[in-house]
Amino acid sequence: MLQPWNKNGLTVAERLQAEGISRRGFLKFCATTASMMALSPSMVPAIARALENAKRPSVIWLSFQECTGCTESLTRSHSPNLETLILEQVSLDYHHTLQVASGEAAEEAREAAMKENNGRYLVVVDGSIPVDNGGVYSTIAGITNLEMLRETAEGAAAIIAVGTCAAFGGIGYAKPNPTGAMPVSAIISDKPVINVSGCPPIPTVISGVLAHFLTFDKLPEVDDLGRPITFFGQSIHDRCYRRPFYDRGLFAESFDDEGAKKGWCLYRLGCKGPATYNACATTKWNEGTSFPIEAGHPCLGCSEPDFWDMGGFYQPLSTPTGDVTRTLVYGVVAGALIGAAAGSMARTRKIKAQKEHYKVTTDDLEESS
Amino acid sequence: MNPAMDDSIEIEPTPCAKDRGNDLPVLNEILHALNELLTHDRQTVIDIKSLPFGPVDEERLSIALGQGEVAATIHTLGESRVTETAYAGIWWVEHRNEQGAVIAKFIEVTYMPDILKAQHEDVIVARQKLKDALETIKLNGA
Ligand code: SF4
Repeated sequence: MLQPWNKNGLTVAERLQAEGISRRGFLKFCATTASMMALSPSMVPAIARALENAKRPSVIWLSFQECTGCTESLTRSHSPNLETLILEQVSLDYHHTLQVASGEAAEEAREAAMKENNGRYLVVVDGSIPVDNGGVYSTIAGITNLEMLRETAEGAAAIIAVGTCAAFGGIGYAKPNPTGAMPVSAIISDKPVINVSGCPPIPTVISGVLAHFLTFDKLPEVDDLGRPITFFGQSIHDRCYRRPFYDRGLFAESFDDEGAKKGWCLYRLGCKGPATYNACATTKWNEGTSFPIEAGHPCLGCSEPDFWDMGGFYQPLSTPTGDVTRTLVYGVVAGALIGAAAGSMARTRKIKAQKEHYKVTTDDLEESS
Repeated sequence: MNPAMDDSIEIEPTPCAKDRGNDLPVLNEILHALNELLTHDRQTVIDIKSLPFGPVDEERLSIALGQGEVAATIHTLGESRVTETAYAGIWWVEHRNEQGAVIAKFIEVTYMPDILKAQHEDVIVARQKLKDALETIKLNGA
């Protein structure tokens, strides 16, 4: 699956040079990589310096209790060049959906990669790990997912939990969780684990984290849920282009009313944007074409823990707080701050609802606000 | 009827201060960047992907900035287009991949975007190439 020449361990700069690509081309590569990593364009010189020496790491990709949507998200990406460049710059030594080898040969490839790169390889996991009854609910080559994860993680430099299932348990973990599904971080505690959540995650976010590891030889900075801050640092609501409607109290009340037609805020239709942290509102999907809210559908909150058990996709989590007309006066910057506060309030209510396992309705919240 | 075909549905541009769209704060940021360039010789690069733009915001920004005197195309790892806006020192830099899809887009506030300049490493290679070419010409001429 990899380019044979790349087995020579060339750095990114050497590789581009070997292909006859100019330094100007390298600069373009660095600028687009910075954008992919959601880093400030002022980081381009630092990225260029790091990429001069970046060698290609070995990657072992483990797919457990999952739907392959995360792999689909990455490989069906519509802007193949950048993702492809990054993927070619890593040595994907094991990925049972993508690799040519099967059966014993596949498992041998995993073992060989672990041995050759002990302490240096990167493990990518998609899917949750069932642990009930010794983990018998999901096995590969007769090995339980639980055993394979523990064994593979032992010599890893770091682990990237791709998708909400690997990051937070996802649908497998949703009530009543019949297989005892667990996220990676509940099983591995002695290695750096980064969560790239989303159902599926945005392809650029997956490759952005890989690019970060490739460029700087370490994982990016994370939030309190172990997600890269550059992509998950702000809520959808903070960056939503419909936000000015929210601030003015202009809401769609149904999917076909005047408000919906005019593109007003989808809060009352169950939008989880204020409590959801992800990069959809800016990075967007399908070559940056759009994202669910732009397509007229409220955010489901798929990158947050337990989003399946949050009491209904079309149930609003809370009602707008504060004097919405006054927020306008403070303009965009202040609006973002107020949005963050509304977000954290919604988050607290969500956690409370989840703990006590009841549904939060608009009426309940109107009473309590 | 498919709602997408229903032209009675009009998506309102996102309102902001005085009913403008999300392009207004960006225009303010660009003005601030021009000040920085003139007073501290500091350049600014804004990644368009990092902005919370709605369906018409980028188009409005593009119309507001207009078109200037310079337009250049670079052919490396796909096409890149560098165009000066109607305001000197404010540039669009758009990178496409080999399939023609836009993979990154920036507004640069600078006297000249770096990507337009010949790069030191490329000039070293060019010197050697030209030397070799001259040698070949001399050899052929002798
Ligand atoms: S509630 Fe949803 S649609 Fe409304 S501004 Fe926030 S994220 Fe956007």
